[in-house]
Amino acid sequence: MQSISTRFSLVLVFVLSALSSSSTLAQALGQTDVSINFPNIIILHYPANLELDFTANTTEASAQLEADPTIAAVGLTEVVDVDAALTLTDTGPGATGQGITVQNVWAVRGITTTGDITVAASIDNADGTNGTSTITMENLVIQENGGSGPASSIDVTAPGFSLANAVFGDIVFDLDLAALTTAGLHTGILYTIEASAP
Amino acid sequence: MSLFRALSRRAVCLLLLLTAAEVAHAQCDTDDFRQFRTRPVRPQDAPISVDSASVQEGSVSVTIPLSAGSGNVNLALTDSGFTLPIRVPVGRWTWRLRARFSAPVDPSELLVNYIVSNGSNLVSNLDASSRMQVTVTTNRIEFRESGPNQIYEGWIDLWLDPTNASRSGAYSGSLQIEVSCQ
Repeated sequence: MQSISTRFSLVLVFVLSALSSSSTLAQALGQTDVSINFPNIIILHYPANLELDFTANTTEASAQLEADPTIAAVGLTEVVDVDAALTLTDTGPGATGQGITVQNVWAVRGITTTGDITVAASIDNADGTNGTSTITMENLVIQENGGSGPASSIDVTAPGFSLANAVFGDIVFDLDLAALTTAGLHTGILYTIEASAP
Repeated sequence: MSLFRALSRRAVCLLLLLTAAEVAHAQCDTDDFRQFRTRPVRPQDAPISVDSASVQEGSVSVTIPLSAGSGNVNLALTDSGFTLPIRVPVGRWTWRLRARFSAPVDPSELLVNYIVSNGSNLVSNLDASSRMQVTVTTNRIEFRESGPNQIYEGWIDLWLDPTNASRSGAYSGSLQIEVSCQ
């Protein structure tokens, strides 16, 4: 009985071996894992030169109404010298900062670990001059067009690399016109927009 | 006797013809496939030489009424920085086919099909919504003989389009490889 059993096993092994050697693949098929690492990649778009041409309505400025001054009674003499002491109100283009917003003047694309891109603005040279006439950029901040900000630094959602998905932003600043004495082109203002991974 | 000799010669000729025909028609046949292996594309860095780029969009002029204090540049973007899609050559073979054809078959006769999971996307390990579109192509198929077998090793390129990606870091996925005959 023992002998029969052994013979049966040997036959079985032989048959399995034969099957194995004659097996074929109708199609080679396999599956494997893929893993790729990407670094932070940020692309910042900006104009190399930005020229702002301001237009002003002169009648608007000349029509500025001021409060009625109170003039003390003076004696009627041949020459009457009265100081009306007109007090100017600061509206429109004037001595204090003129608020300026320049929309869609920068854009960012890219990918980061957090999914955000930090965009910051700073002033490198505040003054623009034309001879002795000077204008000064102040309080520069940025904002995502239709999104976060204004602030000196904001986080925007990293949009990937598609141009169509790029995040656009504005700059907002005050322009001090106190030392502006000459019409015409004033040059020299320099600001920096920096995009980085938070 | 002469009939026997003639038959023998014909038999020899027939045998030689069969052998020649067998060699001449050594075509790819999946019945001759014996073993197929794949190897994971282990984590590797995308070959991107720049990590940031500043793109100057030229000079821009905008008119701003002082009374409004606002103007719109509408910056027009140019596609710059690096070229998309990003090609990632995998630095070692990804699939290996052992076959026992009657004669070596030109690798070009192998038909290779690649299917990437998640609708041909690698998915960010940090954020599943951040995806990298992938196309896989064969870089080359290396061939060598090993005894009675032929070994074919497939080297692949990954072409990554990060249009819909927002995260850096690792992206992973699964690649199914099918090899058959043309």
